[in-house]
Amino acid sequence: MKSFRWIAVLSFLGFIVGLTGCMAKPDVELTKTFQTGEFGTARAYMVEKTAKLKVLGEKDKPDRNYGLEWMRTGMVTLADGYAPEGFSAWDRVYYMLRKQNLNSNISDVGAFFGTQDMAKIWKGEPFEQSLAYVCVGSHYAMQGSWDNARAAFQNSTFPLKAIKGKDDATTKKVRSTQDVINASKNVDESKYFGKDNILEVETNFAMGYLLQGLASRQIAIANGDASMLQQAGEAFNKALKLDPGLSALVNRLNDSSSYNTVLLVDYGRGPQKIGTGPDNSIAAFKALKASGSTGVSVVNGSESISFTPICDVNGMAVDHRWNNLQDMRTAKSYLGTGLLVAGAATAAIGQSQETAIIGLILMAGGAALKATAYADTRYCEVMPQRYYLVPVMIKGPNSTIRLSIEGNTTVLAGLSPPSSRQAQFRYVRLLTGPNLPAWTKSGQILYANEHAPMAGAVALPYILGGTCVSPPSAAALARYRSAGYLRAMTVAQLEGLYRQEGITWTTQDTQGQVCKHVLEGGNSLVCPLPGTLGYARLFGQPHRPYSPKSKEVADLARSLAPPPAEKAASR
Amino acid sequence: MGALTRILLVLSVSMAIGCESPPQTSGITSDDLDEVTAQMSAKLASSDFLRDRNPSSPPILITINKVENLTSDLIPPAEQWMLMARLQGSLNLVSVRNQKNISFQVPPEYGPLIRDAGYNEPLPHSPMFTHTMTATYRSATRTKREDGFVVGRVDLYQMQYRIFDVTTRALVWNDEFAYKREALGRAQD
Repeated sequence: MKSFRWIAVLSFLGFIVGLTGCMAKPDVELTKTFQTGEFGTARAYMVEKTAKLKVLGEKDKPDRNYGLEWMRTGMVTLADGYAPEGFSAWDRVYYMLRKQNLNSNISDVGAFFGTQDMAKIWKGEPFEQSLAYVCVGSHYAMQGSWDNARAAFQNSTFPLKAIKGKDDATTKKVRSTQDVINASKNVDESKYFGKDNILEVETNFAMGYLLQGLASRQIAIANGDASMLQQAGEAFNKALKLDPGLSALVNRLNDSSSYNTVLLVDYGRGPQKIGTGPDNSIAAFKALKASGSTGVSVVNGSESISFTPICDVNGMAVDHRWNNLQDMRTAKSYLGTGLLVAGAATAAIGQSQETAIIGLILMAGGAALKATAYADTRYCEVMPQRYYLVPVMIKGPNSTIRLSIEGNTTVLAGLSPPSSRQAQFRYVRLLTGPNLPAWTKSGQILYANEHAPMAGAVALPYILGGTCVSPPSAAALARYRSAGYLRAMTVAQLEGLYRQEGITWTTQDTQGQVCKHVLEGGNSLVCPLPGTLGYARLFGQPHRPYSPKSKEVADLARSLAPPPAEKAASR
Repeated sequence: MGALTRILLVLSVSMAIGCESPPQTSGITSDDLDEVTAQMSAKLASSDFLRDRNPSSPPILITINKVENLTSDLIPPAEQWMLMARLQGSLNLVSVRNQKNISFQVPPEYGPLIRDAGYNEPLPHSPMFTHTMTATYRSATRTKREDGFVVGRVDLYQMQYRIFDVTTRALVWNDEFAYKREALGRAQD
């Protein structure tokens, strides 16, 4: 009987160890492809994952990871230079964040006996939500829809929660989650975690105000609305109050004659969410890239200028105002430990079979509580460590901009002045590392596309052996004809060739998602915006020749094989 | 009933508490926009601007050339123009067109966006327009807080429509429509 009891005790200890391994881990496939700039592959991976998610109605509850998966998809799409006009990943994230009462079905008892990541619909920590709103705004600013960008940026400056200490000084000082936990030791925790002691404080998110000011200013430029100009001034003043070091940048943003293009530069790998403390019950963020104040050097024609960071994501992640409280998880862990110890003692010391069973039940309860006490470590692992805002004046067509941070250099190609008086906006992800691919510095456009129709060596569709990936159109066909190709073909026939290959040139067929580009082995001609990392990657390096899928395209490609001299030029 | 059964029953009931509460949003929905469109087209048809017109009045062709979202909520461009296309559809009713000799159109460059958003009705176009229409949406937000948390939100949306004479640039019609959306529950949970 005694040996049975001890076997049971040891079995339950093993059970605990097994269960605690269920904590969410970063998506390896996503991070690997994203960090090396293989955004097309990362996007295709996410498109496949999100295809399984339920479509939401106004009153529907999303899947638990709905917001997280769409945010990851949105990040890889944005970093790759795409801002599709259909119902995009960022629209989905926005509408999810705007829903109230999402997690109301989780009663305290339900949450207590489940795990946080099993029970909760992911909305992210407050700082992740704020950054998500920035990305939604960036998505719309890239489309030139500054009014929607303003709405999203405005949402990023929501009020935060702070824990009131003996005086209000604690709410004014930036403190890490660990600081708060340390401070709460040996004191009545109700003073820290009691409902009456949670304060609402104004956000310290200077980047949100800066972008809000920028968007309001662009609206005022277009419609002459004095109230928008005033709103821009107020937002800039709030940003300056939070960070006086932004004054040079704000002066530049207030002078519309000094820029017509704004780059939001995303740099470094964002912090990783981990579980710490007893049974990993406290969520914390670990920096993967150290914070720093190194500026980004920008070379734009003859102008050379440097800008300092406007947002440190590491700093936000450890500031307790930007995180949720963990008291329930910690309580579960302690209670679980108590039950486990009591159960083990009862099972081991008890004289009858009944007491052994009661002991085992207590242990099981304790083990379950401990195993499920772990913090919800789901997070968006493709967030950056910091952001820069770079307003520049693009003077001529197909301009290049050189950006350097800590020896990591990227050349953005294909930028032209905007067609309206409003500035154009680009979200630019910069890669880091010792062996950056050559395309990051190439600055070339090797393939004709909808933004650079005259680029490339052979004015013939890529699927027929040329270097043009423009969508089929009368203008594209005219270019092929003037180069001596496809003289008898109509636009409808040209479109038919792409359809036979299963190639699309809108996001309408793919529910607003951008699939992998045909140059990367995908089936889409939808092109990233010039002046983004995706554009540099796609058009700044040679790709393998296209392998036709249909007999008709293969036969036509063979009959149109360009002369050897042109072939050599296209390499 | 055994003790274990009782415990399981209590736990099951406790865990089920709150399951019936659906998510809510105070954001704009397509139904709200449809309702405003219906109100707006009815008011325009009976306005001073159109009241005295008859089938032999000089033709009026209004192009809807600007939609601006100054609310604190997203109205994606496709949805903005979809709304205007529906407005155009409802105002281009045979009764209005024939009796008042007036027609509406959205700029042709927004045609693909509107089609992508699922609008399948005709989108007529003529370059000879006589008037332009603009639409501006604004909002004001109120929140209810408990213990430092937002537990309720009300958004008041105001939609302003204006029609200008292209030749004189005079404002010939201006009206506003408002509606309220409210949502309960924690905003950040």
